[in-house]
Amino acid sequence: MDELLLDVQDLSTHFMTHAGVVKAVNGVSFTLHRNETVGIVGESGSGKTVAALSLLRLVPDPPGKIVEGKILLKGRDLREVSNEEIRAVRGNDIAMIFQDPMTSLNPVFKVGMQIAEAIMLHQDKSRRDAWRIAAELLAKVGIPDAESRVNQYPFEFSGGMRQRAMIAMAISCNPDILIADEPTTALDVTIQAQIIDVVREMQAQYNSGVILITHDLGVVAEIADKVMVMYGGRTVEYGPIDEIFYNPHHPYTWGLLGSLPRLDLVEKERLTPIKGQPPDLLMLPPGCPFSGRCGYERPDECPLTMPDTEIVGPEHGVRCWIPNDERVSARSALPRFVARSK
Amino acid sequence: MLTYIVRRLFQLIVVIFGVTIITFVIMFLIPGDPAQLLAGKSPTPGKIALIRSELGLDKPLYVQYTRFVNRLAHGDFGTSYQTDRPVSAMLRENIPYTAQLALAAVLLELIGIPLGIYSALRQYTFWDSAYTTTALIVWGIPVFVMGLFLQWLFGLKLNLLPVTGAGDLAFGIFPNSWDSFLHLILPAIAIGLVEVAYISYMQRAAMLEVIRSDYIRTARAKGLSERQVVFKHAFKNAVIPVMTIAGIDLGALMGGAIITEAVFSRPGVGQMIYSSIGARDLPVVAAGVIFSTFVYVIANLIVDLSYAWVDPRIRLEE
Ligand SMILES: Nc1ncnc2c1ncn2[C@@H]1O[C@H](COP(=O)(O)OP(=O)(O)OP(=O)(O)O)[C@@H](O)[C@H]1O
Ligand SMILES: [Mg+2]
Repeated sequence: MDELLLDVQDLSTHFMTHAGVVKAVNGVSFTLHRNETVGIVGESGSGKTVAALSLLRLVPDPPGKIVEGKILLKGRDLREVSNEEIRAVRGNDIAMIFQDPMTSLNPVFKVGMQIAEAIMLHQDKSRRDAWRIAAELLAKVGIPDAESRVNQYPFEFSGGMRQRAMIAMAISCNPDILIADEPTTALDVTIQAQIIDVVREMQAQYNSGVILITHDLGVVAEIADKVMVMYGGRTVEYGPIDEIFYNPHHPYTWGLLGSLPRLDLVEKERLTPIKGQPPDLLMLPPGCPFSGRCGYERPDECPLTMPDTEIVGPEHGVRCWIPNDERVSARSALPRFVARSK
Repeated sequence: MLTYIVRRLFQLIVVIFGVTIITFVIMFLIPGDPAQLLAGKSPTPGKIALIRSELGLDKPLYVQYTRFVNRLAHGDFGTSYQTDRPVSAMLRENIPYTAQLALAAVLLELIGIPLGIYSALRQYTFWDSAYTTTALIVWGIPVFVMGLFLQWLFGLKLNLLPVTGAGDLAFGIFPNSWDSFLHLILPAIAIGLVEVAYISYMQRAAMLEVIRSDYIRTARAKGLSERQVVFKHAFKNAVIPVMTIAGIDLGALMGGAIITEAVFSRPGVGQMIYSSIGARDLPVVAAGVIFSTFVYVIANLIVDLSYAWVDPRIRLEE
């Protein structure tokens, strides 16, 4: 196995708001190796972005605070390092591409400058060299006419081009880890595929580890090696991609898979959205956040305490009170899953 | 860009037509007859009629206005009814005083920018809430109340600063003696303090919005220091809306100057307009109004141009 880059243990990030403590991320653990892609999936508000921002200590404080856990970057705990050290990590060891390319670039500075700035900051390069590299990077991520495009402002770029520029900025210092937070959500479908391709190419070229955040399991199926399923700030299931797709154990994962359109089914099958509302993070039950919406829950166990991780396959864990055999039989009763199991 | 400036200057001419017409109509409508006022203590009907025909007041309003515009086109503002002196000479005398006052007030107003930024960066602290509350209170104080209060406190009570007049003769837009500088302080604060409060409050709000924006998060994610994030990435964006506000607010500043000059009995264009309204001295009032309009439009043009200079989205769209 490739070098272990990131080892996140028991990460919890809370927001201390006037209304109470918002437990956005609650005891999340995962690892990331070189050349590996980890997908983080979960519906809106499940804490994906906050988890990613926590890795770089970018959660706005106040009101946000990392209250627990370890973030080990090649063995060094990023929670313990000084502000200066974490700044040296940002953009250099770990770079991040954000959800909304339309607002993630500064409107009043040239695109080239915004890329060159990162290069000058982390590498010993002159302004002229940095701009030249910026143009090369833009060309590399597929922007035509990069030489003149560096001199343009973000508003002169289309959404897809801005996201490419963000990727160019993110890879400018050869980061070990690339975090892509829903890099394609704001873009139209053809552009989405291109952006995913660019991310994949860049990973191959730089041997980085990629954390891909999305609620699109289709994208995950395409490029992720492992998946972490988040719900209400908790990891409810994680495992290699095939395990999650063909041997899912958590009822929430079943729900996610049920809402995925499938090309291998002949009929235009109706998608079944997960019933109910996402949880109110201010009033999470002490137990499983999915209880109340799950449909299989045991009222005297599920809402009261969070189950420990149960290993149900190779590198595959789930946190659920339902006994293993009952889960498997409940799953085989789901219409979509019957079609899926080989 | 050049066509833009030309278009704006053309607009200025149209605006000047507009405000002079309004000035004429208002002066015509308000009660009081300049001829009667000039005729002195024992006016005879014959004397009044004579003055009236001398000044051309017996003609219909539109004839008076056409004459006025005709003279104006030749650079002649006419003569004052009251003093019989050329209005242009009166303007020349008064402009430096007002220019000093306005410049001092604008410079003071600029203090609002760092104050607002500082406050925004310390959001949720005691300093921020204390400052914001103070700013809101000061913002609500009318200029003349502020002026009277300053006169009372620094003049009557503490006897620290002069409260009337402008001191020695002023020649340029900068005070040319220590004495004229001292005379400038209280009037400038009377106008400027309210503006400082207003601008700093707006600057704080703009900064708070910018500092939460996605591109600031991007800047932090690059590894930039907080200083670079604030003063490079946030500052330029946060100052753009405040520049617009400051431009629009110039009107209030001009109004404030007129009131302040009256409160402090300070010579200047405001004082000139103020006293000539009382005497129904139409040429002087009209000249003062034209001057104010001119300054207002030009200042707004400068603000707009600097706005385009800061914001590429405006600069590059034709
Ligand atoms: N600054 C903040 N103050 C208070 N609560 C916050 C703040 N930022 C995020 N949260 C809360 O944290 C929770 C998780 O948000 P997060 O942005 O991580 O969700 P997400 O999984 O990324 O969702 P999406 O798919 O919509 O991007 C949300 O319920 C949100 O209300
Ligand atoms: Mg998100």
